[in-house]
Amino acid sequence: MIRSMLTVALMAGFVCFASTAFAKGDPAKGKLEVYTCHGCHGIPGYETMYPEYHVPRIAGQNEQYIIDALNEYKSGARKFPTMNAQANSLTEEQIENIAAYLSSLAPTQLHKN
Amino acid sequence: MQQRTIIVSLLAAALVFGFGTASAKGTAAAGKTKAAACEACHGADGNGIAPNYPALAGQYQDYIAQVLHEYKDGQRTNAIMNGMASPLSDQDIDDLAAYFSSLPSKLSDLHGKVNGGD
Repeated sequence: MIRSMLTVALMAGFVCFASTAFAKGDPAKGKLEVYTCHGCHGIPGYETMYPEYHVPRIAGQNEQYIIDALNEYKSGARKFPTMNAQANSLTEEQIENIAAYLSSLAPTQLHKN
Repeated sequence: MQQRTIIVSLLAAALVFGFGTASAKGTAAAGKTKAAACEACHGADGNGIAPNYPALAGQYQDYIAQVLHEYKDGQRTNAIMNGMASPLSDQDIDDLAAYFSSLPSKLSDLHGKVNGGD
């Protein structure tokens, strides 16, 4: 009986820990931290120099994808000089804050771009 | 002489337009018929079935094409996407990019969405 109670307690602890591990960033902090992103991602129609293509729209993008993308830029697994430099300067917490803020910008109503 | 110049000019113009057509981007209608595999993760609406899959709906067409080319040639690596992109032709990539960029979107630029700037 005690053993099963212990097991339940441990499982509860695990669940709490797991949800803590998945804790998302703070969008309010993220809103301040995206200031630099705005330089390229904030200009509608802005293009990279070479090769030439539009800098992607990131406002409203899915949260975990942004976290993964920034971590890949930070580790060098994904390569784009500007983004590698930007991501290098970010802490894990900042990355989560930025992702929380950017994903929070998704509107309830879809629009035509 | 002048007539010849005009003809040459017309030919040059036709050539330019011809190239323009050849490099014209794909069509959304054709892309829609090729998107079934993409939709398994990116969703039928192109917004991603889970937060780890990016929304493609309404993303810039040339950015989507660029990324697919990078996945295809291995410049960008992802266990799923390298396999998905490798069989795609340039035309497939252009069609898929045209299709997903045409869909109703939740994406926008950051314009007006930062503190201390607009």
